[in-house]
Amino acid sequence: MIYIFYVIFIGFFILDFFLFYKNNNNIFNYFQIFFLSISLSINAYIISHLSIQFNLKIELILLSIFFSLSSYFAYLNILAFIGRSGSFLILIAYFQKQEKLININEIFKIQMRINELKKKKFIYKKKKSYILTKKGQIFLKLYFFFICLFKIKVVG
Amino acid sequence: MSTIITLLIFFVSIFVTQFFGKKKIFFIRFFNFLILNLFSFIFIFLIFDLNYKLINFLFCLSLIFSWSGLIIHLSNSIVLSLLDLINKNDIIDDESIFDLYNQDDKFNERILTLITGGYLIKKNNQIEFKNNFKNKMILNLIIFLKK
Repeated sequence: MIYIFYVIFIGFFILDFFLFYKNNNNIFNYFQIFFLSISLSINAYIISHLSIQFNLKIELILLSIFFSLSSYFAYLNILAFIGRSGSFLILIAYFQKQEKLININEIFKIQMRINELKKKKFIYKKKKSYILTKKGQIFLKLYFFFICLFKIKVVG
Repeated sequence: MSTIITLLIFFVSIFVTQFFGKKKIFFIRFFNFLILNLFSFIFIFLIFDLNYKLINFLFCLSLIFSWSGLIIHLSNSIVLSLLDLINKNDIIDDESIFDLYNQDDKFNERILTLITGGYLIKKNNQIEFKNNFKNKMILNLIIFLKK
């Protein structure tokens, strides 16, 4: 009984990928959040009515919450990779022996990303120059914090 | 209790592989993290016979995927690199961003990273895909998902 939630949850990701993502390439949609909230609530309700010790109920509910959040985050990351990774495009070109056809603009898609920065309000134009918004500054600080903390080599 | 143990195993594995590993490309270090995390998980859960092994294993896998996603994202993010570029320079138009970003250098850097990571190989001054079971499996999976 307690495993049904996990089977449904993983099944939802597979369905979302093939039914929604494949059709419109949108990584995030509100239906995912809706599903996550509803399934977590139903699962918590079912667990609370199981005839097991109280501490085991708490543990099962905690597990389902942590699992949902981390698997959802992982799922969004996987979608972002499939749709946007430049390194994957390079690898695919070499794998299919079409490396001579590599278009660098297609790999980096700089204009698309600049537009994203503007659209998502990370940057704006002030007196002819681009500057970072408060949101942009926070993201950049977080970026450097994690880069330094985890000693990551930046290739982006 | 078992949830906390799974989280602890995850954080200790990150700590050991990230802070004691030399500054290397993530996907090389990731292999050590994966082995350490999975081995510790199996060892601790079997030795101490903790509750909900299967659910915790799923949770452990989802944490591994989340962690790899976060780090690869930080390492490869072009958007965040552009943000840094804009912050450091007085940029007046989109063209200036193109000039400063230097796609050719970044492309070569990615090629070098893929060679170091064992996905590409340099043979007689030519770069080729390194044909082995693991690489072919990963590429076929990516191509299937991208279709």
